[in-house]
Amino acid sequence: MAEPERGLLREALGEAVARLPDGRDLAVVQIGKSEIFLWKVYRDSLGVPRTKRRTVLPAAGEACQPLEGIVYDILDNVRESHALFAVEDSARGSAPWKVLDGLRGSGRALRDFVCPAPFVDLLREVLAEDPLTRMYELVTLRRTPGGGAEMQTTPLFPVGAQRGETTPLTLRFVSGPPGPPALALVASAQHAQAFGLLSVLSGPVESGVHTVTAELVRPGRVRFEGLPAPLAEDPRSWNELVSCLPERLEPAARPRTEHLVCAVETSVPAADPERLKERIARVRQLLAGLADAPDAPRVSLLSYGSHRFAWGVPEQEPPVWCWEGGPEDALERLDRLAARGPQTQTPQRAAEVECALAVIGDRLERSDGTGRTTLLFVGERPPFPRRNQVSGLLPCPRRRDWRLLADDLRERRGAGFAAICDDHDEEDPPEFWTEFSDGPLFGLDAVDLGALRAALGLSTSARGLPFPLVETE
Amino acid sequence: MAAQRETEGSKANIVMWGAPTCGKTTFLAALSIALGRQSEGWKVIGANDQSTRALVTLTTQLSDGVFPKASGAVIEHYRWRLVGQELRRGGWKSLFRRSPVGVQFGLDLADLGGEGYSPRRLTQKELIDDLVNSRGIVFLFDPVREFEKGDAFEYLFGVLSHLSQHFLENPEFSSGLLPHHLAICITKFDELRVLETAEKLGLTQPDEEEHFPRVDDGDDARELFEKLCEVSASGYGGMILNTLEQYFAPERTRYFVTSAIGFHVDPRLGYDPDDHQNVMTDEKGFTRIRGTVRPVNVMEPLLWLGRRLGKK
Repeated sequence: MAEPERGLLREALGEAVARLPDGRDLAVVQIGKSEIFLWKVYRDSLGVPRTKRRTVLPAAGEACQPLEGIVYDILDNVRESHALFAVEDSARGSAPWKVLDGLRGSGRALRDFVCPAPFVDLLREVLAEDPLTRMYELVTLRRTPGGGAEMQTTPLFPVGAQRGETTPLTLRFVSGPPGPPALALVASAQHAQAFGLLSVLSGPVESGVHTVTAELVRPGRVRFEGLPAPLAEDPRSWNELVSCLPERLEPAARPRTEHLVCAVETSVPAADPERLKERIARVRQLLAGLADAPDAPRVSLLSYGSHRFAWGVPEQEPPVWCWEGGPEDALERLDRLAARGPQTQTPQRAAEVECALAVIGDRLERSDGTGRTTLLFVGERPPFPRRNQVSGLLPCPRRRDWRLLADDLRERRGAGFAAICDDHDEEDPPEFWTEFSDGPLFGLDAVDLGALRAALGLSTSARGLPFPLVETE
Repeated sequence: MAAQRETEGSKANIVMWGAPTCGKTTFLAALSIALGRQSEGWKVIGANDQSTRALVTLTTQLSDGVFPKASGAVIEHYRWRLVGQELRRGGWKSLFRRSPVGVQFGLDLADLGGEGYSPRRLTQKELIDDLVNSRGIVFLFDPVREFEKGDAFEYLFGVLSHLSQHFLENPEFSSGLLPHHLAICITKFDELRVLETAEKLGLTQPDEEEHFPRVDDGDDARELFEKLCEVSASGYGGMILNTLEQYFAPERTRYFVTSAIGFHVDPRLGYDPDDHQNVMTDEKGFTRIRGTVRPVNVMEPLLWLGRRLGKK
């Protein structure tokens, strides 16, 4: 069989499949040496070309129908369809060949091609190269401003994309119970809101950022390269996957914290001198739980009070009690901090949060430590402003801006932020601390240590995420 | 020839006028400090024991960072004298030459409690009499109070109506205008909202020595006054300016943007536009002055009034 003839059939078949509208069939009659198959090519609800095969002429050894009956049967089946006839080279001179003669003599215009056997291989190739009639997208997650998780889709291949095209992706996987993260592929028609689920793959993936390449293998199938282990079909239902989505994304989505910085406000209301002890107790609880852990983070401890604005008295920077020590070091320094006692709050309704951030930033700049740093502030009052305010609150004497300092720590150092606030009211959370914290805000009176550890990126049993997060950095 | 001239009679009195908590007492307390900061030789001296004691007490309190207690319904009469020198032309021999001449202005200041001007208390003849017998008025307009309470017009209109009644048969009132000279002082210039309004209007200029902002007396100050009246809580603020201009002759009226305590100036760094607030709450929760008192436009309205009254 000459290649040009095979090429003609391939071209005609590819063109016919590409033009195949939803809800219609393409009939292909395969005439072989001893059998005749009737193929129906159609698109499923997601636009993927599919086939059905019916045997028209039984294989040798079975009872033969009259030739005319076979011809009528075929013509009857292709009446409503676009039809092509593929005649395998080996069929020359055989009984099926005579059927072809009968079809040619029927008066119907036929498009018949001779092709090398087996025809089925050629059909598979054509279907695999069929351009996409739907856009293919990956189900991913994104962080919401409120600290939650929201599902979205990340485009992979546009309509018209063909086999072999690739799309690079940077995805953050968060592995953990109840199951591995899944790569769910969906198809959507142009100008349509509805998605159809094409496939869900999953496999063992370590938490962290992975560079993945999505490759279109054929319509309906996408291969993901770059992951450490091969992916397999995920047995979970869609509802099961979606139900794994946590209300809050950050705790589980963060990489593990390797440096925990605790900053404790030492100024307390005159009427409540015990407040500092409570703040210290919460930090102590947290650190005591880390002390025996083999993967305990480095711990730093600062305290901060309020600017005094006293004439002739220079303002001091917030003292650092311990820097990148172990939890035990920090616990011992906490005792010293407790022994020093509190500072009575000034009428200035602010504390040196901004100066504590500046000191932390400065220390981190000089630090050789690696890994993620997370800041835990324990206190009540918001920072001093950068400049005059209508409220009458005096600006920080060093003109520091907590937002700039915090943004710098976030962007350049990748630091995380968490807070335990004295007067945390779920209904009416303190505006500043809500903005300050990446995740949930904790109240001083009742701290859920498990949740706090998770928020600080210290928990080893953080729940996994059912879908990957898209990294925008 | 007498080199010294003293205004005589109660008609030379200067009365301070304004709503409660508009800063009258602090304004008076700042006067001595303001004079102490200028180098033109002006000073304020008490004319009797009671006034001298009041002068010392008010000045000491303010320089200690404490806001003097605002006068209540009681009328405080301070018989003070503003003593200084002015360059004046002498007789025919010195027709083209100006020589320093010792001058005294009588500042018989009646610091009336704001409530004293309330329409509810206007039957108190003594209060109206003080205004009737004066020819110089310092009208203090507190833009912060006007923004929050908006009662300046209430305090203004009733008083002007009764004053006008007293002058109805007076030939001085033939033009329908009161015979007083009026210094309209927009107070609390150091307050952020007031300063920012002036800055947005482009009315501020840096002080030549201290670099903190100032607003020129006269038209610029009037423009700021008009703008601040627009944001009155009561919606009647816009009527304040019109009413004042209906009762007082424009040539006898001048506008001043003032601050009794002034802006915070760091002794090392100087004035910082990001940190100019000179009021803070102390450890006991009392509002007090943060740094040194640097009055802005406190003596100027009084000197202007004194000079205008002295020329009559």
